[in-house]
Amino acid sequence: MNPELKAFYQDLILQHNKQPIHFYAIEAADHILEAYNPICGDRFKVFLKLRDQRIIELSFQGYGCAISKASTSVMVEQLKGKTLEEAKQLIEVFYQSIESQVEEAPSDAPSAFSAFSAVQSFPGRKPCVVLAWEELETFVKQP
Amino acid sequence: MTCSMLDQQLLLEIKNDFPLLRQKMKNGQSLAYLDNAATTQKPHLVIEAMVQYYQKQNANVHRGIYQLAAEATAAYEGSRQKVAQFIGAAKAAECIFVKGTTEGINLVAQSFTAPQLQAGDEVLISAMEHHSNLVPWQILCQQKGAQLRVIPMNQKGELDLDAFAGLLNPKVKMLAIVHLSNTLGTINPIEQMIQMAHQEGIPVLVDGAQSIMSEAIDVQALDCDFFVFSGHKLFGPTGIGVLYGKTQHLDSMMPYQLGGEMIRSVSFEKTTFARIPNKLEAGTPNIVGAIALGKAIEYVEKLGKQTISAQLQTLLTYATEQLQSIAGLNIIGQAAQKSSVLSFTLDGVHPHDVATILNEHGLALRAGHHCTQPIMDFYHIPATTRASFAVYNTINDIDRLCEAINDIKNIFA
Repeated sequence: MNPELKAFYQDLILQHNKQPIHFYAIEAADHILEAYNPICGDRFKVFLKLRDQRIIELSFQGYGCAISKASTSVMVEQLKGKTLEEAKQLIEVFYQSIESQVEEAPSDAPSAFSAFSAVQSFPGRKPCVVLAWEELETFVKQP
Repeated sequence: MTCSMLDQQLLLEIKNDFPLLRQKMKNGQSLAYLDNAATTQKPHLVIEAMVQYYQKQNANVHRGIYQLAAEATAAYEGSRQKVAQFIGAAKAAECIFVKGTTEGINLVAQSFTAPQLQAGDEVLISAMEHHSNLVPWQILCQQKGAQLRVIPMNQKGELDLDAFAGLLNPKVKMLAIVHLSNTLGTINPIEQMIQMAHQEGIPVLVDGAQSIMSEAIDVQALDCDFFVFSGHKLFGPTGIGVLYGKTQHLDSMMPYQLGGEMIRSVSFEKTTFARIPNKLEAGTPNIVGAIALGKAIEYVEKLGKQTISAQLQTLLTYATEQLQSIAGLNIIGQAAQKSSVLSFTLDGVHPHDVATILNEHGLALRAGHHCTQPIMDFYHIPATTRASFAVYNTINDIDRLCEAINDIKNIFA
């Protein structure tokens, strides 16, 4: 396997794909977001429970490729418990991380974020990486 | 390999006709191009015809009386003759140049079916239509208060002809049916279906986008009312295709685009239209596309559809045997009559991950719903990976595919 491909399908991503974090529906969710890519058919529901501007519960369910599933899994893992303001900032940090070389990633970025920077070698797969993130971004940024 | 395998020398010569296939991919591997249902590669003589046209012949058609214009017109109309003879049309005027299959279907839906469709009428399609032979009919039915009816299929991906017979009735104003499914590879028994529809007086449009390459097409023997195909799936360029229609139908159709090239006389009070085919080809047409399509047809005729069809069957049979032996791989579409397309899923691995890793092996395959979302829904899958063959593909391409799939299984183990 060539190095780019190995970096893209690295253990962290394969592990999240196999055993995603918070992979369940929240019965009494305050909000359910739908992350859907009509081109490839990837479709996740993201469930949120909020209290005092804080995401107290965050989970997801659905179907997608290893990359979109792992990136959604990392998203719910990292953003659960954050305030909406913190979530906004972390989403930006995620975008910066995937656009940077691993060693140049923002210093406050969780290490899991940089796993997705390998997408730079596979530009056609970027929509998979950001699928759920963009939905959540729209939600937290709404007035 | 089997005795039906094409002569190795001939196969090599065919492959050499396609300059793009000689390219190396980014990791240095040779290209195995297995996305021919999406578009085929172009042989040298088609590319050369396009260059020559712009270097030596370029002029607008049907207008000038100078030498270049006459030559361009002769080449353009010569292509129409080739198309007519290629599909067995009674006359060249029954072959309308369009952008492709999609435009041909939309033209028939808007200019032939729409004026006759009343509330309560029906349009019949099948469960395996490409979106281009579904959406135009669905929207038209919605606009007219008509019903879109769907011929069901079985798990193998074969149409249920008993159910089809039950759906035929005088309210049906069009049967629009795919000949060869781009997702399942199924070859539908269109000859029989056309006969059955005609017994009820129902006109039939055949979507020949995939079948034009390998199936013998004789529109008069089939007695279809319309037949549509794209040039780019027949070694021709994109942006050119053909709508064949019976003269009486084409004569009855109101053009859906109006302007130059399609008129007989124009005053501020009144316009009269030209005869077919010009009536339905408003504006300057894709002249170079039509000429290059003529060349592509010459190329296919030189190889012979029988040769092409035999090679596709050899590839499909071999690929089916090899892929079936891979544990966890499921072939989607197992019709008895099938050609050139092999869709599959791999347990636990999404088709986009499959296609990404195949690409790293120099293999070009499509992953997705292939513009047939209802087929995906039918099999309860979001997408498939699809290998689709052309005459220039080899057994080695399939062996590489199998090796790469085993590699994918290791990564996702």
